[in-house]
Amino acid sequence: VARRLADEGHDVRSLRESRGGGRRPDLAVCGTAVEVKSFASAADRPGSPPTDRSVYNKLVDASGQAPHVVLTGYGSGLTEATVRRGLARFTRSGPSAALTSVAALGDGFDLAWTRSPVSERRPVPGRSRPAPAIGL
Amino acid sequence: MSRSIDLFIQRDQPIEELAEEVGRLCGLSLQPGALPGTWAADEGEVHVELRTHPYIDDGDLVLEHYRYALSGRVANGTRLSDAPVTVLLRMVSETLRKAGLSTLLVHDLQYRDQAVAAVVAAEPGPQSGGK
Repeated sequence: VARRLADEGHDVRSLRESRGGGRRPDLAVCGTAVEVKSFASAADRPGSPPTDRSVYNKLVDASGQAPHVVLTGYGSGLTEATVRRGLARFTRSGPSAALTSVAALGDGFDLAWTRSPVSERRPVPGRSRPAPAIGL
Repeated sequence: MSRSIDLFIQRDQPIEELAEEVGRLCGLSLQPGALPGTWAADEGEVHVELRTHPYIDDGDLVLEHYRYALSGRVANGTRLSDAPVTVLLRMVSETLRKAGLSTLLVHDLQYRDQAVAAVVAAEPGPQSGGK
């Protein structure tokens, strides 16, 4: 992921684990914190391929570390449909306000999601404010 | 890129009481963590944190059965199964299970620790290694 971002012209720096623990992001990309979450390959993990619930849990985990997240699922059996369902679940019931963008890379797909600024949407009088739009 | 190792623990009591119990049973010195509602311990280079976990059930990982997670992180380049934090959490898991607590050790939120699963499967009687 770091090499790919660097090839795209970004300044990519790997961040070391903090001594004494604590949760911190994996990368600084042009000065912005980015967390990378990966799914183990099918050969390395027992059981079934990742599900939408697996994607949800990874996003919840990442949301405590950085506003930008890259999910990688090469060789894991992760599918585009699974990513979409997981992201929909996360925006419905996860701490999605903590994330600004999500990218998902896997076999046959390369997706990106960016939060639309809530301030650009006008609330309808008498109704609750709409949730931020998402798009993949 | 770091990965997580999480020991899920079922206990109804407040987190400060669980932190005290884990400390007493396992010899960990859990102190209030940097974030409210968290407790943390450092054992050499290993750092673990106890908190109420936010994860949902995923297949045979029945995580919602457990209220708390004692979690650590493993840097890229180190095998999760051999990492010092994994060894520590295996020891904590075994100690807590012997004390009657239900626990589940999970690698990177993806699959159960095979060493603990094998021990639990070999034990006679009711199993406490997961729901």
